[in-house]
Parts: sequence; C-alpha cells; structure tokens
Amino acid sequence: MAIVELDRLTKRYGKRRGIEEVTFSIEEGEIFGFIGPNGAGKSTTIRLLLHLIRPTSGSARVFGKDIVRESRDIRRETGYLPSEAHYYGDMNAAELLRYSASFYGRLDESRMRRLAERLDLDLSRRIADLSLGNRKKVGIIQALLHRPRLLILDEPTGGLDPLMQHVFFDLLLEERERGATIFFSSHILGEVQRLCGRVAIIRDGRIVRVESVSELVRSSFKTVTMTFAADSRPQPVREADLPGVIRQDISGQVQTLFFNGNIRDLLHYAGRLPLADIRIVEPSLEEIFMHEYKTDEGA
Amino acid sequence: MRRLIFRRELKSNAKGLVVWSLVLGGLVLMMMSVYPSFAEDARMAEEMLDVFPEPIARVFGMDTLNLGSYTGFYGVEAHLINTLVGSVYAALLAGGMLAKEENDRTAEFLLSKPVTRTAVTLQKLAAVLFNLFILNLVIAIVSFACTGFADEAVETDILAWYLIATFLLHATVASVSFLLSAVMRRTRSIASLALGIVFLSYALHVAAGLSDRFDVLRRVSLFSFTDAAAIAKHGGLAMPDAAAMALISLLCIAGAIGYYRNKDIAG
Repeated sequence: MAIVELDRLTKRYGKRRGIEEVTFSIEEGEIFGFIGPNGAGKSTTIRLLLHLIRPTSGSARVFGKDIVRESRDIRRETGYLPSEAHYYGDMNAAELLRYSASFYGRLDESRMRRLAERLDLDLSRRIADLSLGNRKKVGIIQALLHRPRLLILDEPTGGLDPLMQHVFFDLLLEERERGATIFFSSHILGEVQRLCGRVAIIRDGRIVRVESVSELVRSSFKTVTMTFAADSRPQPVREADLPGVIRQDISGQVQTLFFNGNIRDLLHYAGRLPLADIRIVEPSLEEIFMHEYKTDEGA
Repeated sequence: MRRLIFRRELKSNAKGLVVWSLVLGGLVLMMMSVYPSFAEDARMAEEMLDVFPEPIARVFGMDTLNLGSYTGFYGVEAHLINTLVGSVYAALLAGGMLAKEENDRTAEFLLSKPVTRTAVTLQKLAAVLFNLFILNLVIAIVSFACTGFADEAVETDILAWYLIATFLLHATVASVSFLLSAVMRRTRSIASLALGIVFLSYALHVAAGLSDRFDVLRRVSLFSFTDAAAIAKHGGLAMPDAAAMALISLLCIAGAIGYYRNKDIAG
C-alpha cells in the first residue's frame, strides 16, 4: 500500500520558485530518498505534506488521507524533523520532549531516555544553550519519540558529526524494522545511497526521475580505472575502437573512463592494452547525479 | 482537547503578567493613596483645576468629574493609567502571541503536531484573555481596596463600570493586535504597529477632547469608548460604546482565525 502519494502537487509562490506537478509515491516500509540541490523544492514538497503551506494545485494523500482536509489525522502518526530545527529556548530538552509527546497523548519516558543516551544528549540542558548539533538531536528524538508510522526528515544529518550520523542511521534502520516508513531528503548522495531503497530526484521544482538506488547505479555506468605499465602511455579511446565511452580522462599513467557500453567490448579492448591494473566499479550516486544534471542542462 | 498550548502560554507569560500586575496595581495604589489629602481639602482640588487651562482640564475629564470624590479622582488619575498602560500590555502580549512561533521559527515544531490551526489560534487567544482578566482582577482588587482611603460613601457602581470598560478596552486592543499577529510574521514590526495604534488612538482621544471641532476624532479612537467623564455622566458604560468594542473584537478575532487557518507558514 502506498503510504505517501503525490499527484501533480504544485506550489507556486509569486516570484520564487515552488514545485511544479510533482508526482511519486512511497510504499509502506520503504526508506525513500529525496535528493536534489539546495533550493530545488525538497523542503517545499515536505512542508506541503505536513500542511505547513497549502498547495496551489494538485493533491497528495498520506495514509490515504488528504493532506489539506485531514492534516491533523496525518500528523498524529507522523514524525517530522525540519531542516532547521528551532525549539522553545526557555525549556530544557526534557521539558520540550515531554511537551512534544503530550500532543500525541502518550509519553514513553524510558524511550526518551534511551534515545537521548544513544544520541549522547544531556536532557537537562536548556534549549537556548544547545549547539546546532545538539538541537538537531532534540529534533530527532521529538520526531521518533511517539513511534510514528511515517518519518519525514528534511536534511536530517546536517550538523551531526560522523559518529552521530552513524548512530542516527542505526536508529532509522531500527525504525524501519519496527515497520515505519521513512522519507528523507538530502543533498548528500552518499547517505541516500547507503540507506534508501528508492529515490526521487528533484531539480528546479520538477521530478527528474524516480528509481531504485540499485537500478540507478546498475542501469547506468561503470567507472573504469586503468593503470598503464610504466613503459607505455595511455592514448585517448576512439569511438570506433570502443563505443560507449561517455567521458574520459588521462592523468599520467592512469586513464579513467565513464562507460555505459557493452562490458565484453570493454574487456576485449582492454585486453590489448599494456595494463598494470584495471578496476571496474559502479559509480557513486554523486557521479551519476552529476551526469544526470549535465545531460539535462544540455537538453 | 487538553489545552496544551493554552497551558504552555500561561506558563511562559506568567512572569510578564506578574510584573505588569505589580506595576499597574502599584500605580493605582500610589495614586489613590494621595486621594485622602485631596478629599480633605476640596479647595485644593478646585485650585488644581484652575491651574489647568480649560481644554486640558476637559481632556482629563476634570470639568465633569469631581476631584473631591473617590470615583471622580479615580476617573481622572487611575482610570487613565489603567486604560493606557494596560493597553500597552494587551498590545504587546496579543501582538506576539501567534507571530512569535514564526518569528522564533518554532512554528514548524508546533504546527507539525496533531493540532488544527483553529485550535492553536483559539488556545492562544484564550491565553491572552486569561492574562488580561488576571491583570484586571488585580486592578479591581486594588481599586476596591483603596476605597478605604475615602471617608464618603463611594459610588461603587461607577467604579465597577470603569473597571468593566477598562477590561473591554484591553480585550479590544488585544483583538486588534491578535489579528496583526495572525497576519504578520515579524514580532518587532507587530509590536511597533500595535503600540502605534494604541498611542495614536490615545492622541486622537486627547485631540478630540481639546475642542468640539475635533469631535469627529472621538469616533475613531478606542479610548473614547472608555472615557471616564462619559461613564460618570451616563451612570455606566454607554451601550453603543460597549457594542462597538465587542464588534471590533469579534471581527478581529474572526479575521485572525480565518486568516491563520490558511496561512503559509514561513520556513
């Protein structure tokens, strides 16, 4: 069953760009990534789902409920972490979390303590005195505390150090184990690649593609790194000798190819070269993404 | 609903309420403690009246109000402070009430909780009115306690009317400011605008009192609804004045709820 369904969802601000006819859906139990550069419309889409802003046209449903008319019911089972988390400065962390929990009618004090311990957050500190990273931790806990069915996380790792990011990813995986669906936006592809099953790529307010991460990586390219023997020099690959080279680069003894042709052609071609070493790897999401954007700009 | 936002607002505004209550209660006590020496010497009161040019005396209601009586003295001195200072408190409190969530960027936290916008608006409005009620209760207690300074039989009904009118005025100023708070986002601009309305309104009230020619100004000033001299002369708050304040309040509150329901929250 689709937990989140967007149907030509559109938000226009006067001059500022919003989002235009965004359509995709997220299945129950998925970890779904939402990637795109800053200002592409990630936050706008997310804030529409929570009814913080109203759509200009189109519609969306969460748990099968309309995001405008049944927003409160949706929010009852949703945990939301805003990209820039701000909380009441006069409260301490524990007070803020208790206040947050009271809206859902149940407070699991031991879960709160456990989460705080995992994230290494001192609950007695005043919110106003917290660093950006610690405020983010408060945000993470208030989003997870009531065991929501859907987690919506907007740029969740910003401000967290790598160790904490690791803990945070573990928490997300545990949430998924529990049955939660996770929708998170990021402009850091590595973390999306690491966690998500599927991703939607947004750019200039429009969805460029929605694909599984493995598909995105597999269907496209290989990065081929060939190190030549010391007594030879790499030569540029000609289309006639090996079709399917999208980009190539030579630096000293090392030749790098961005390749989406036939792998047997590649091996055949490479077999005739005086190589010391060859590596064929799936490119990182970053590389694909870069490529995606370049082709689009060319079109 | 467990009125979580209402309770939160009471708690976070408690300190301000205590301070403003102490200040206003203290001011009333201070002013009314001077009354016995006035009442003792009625001539002194008349002399004081002579010191002021006639239009000025009229602005403060001294032509109608008898400074030698408790309610007359109260009407000239304390009532002015109660309405004016209390309105400043009402404007600041109500003006910040909704907009502070956007201004401090906590709106995203609050509005992603399972509460409707209307519930948020109503609970915050209730918090404003409750705070104003407590402030006015303090003023009322001090005002009635100070009747102990008077030797004569105090016209308690007139005093009560002053207090009712004051509370209504505070609620009206608060409603106007609350509407600003729903529509605008920056608390500082709201505070300036709301205080501007209070002081301009008071200035118009003064100007209207200076000459009959400015009488038309009376109709656009909130303070004219609670004019002490008019209340004393009329023996109570005139129905049209009370109705006007109620109408302004209801329109502003309805506008605030309606606007906030559909407001795009700044991210």
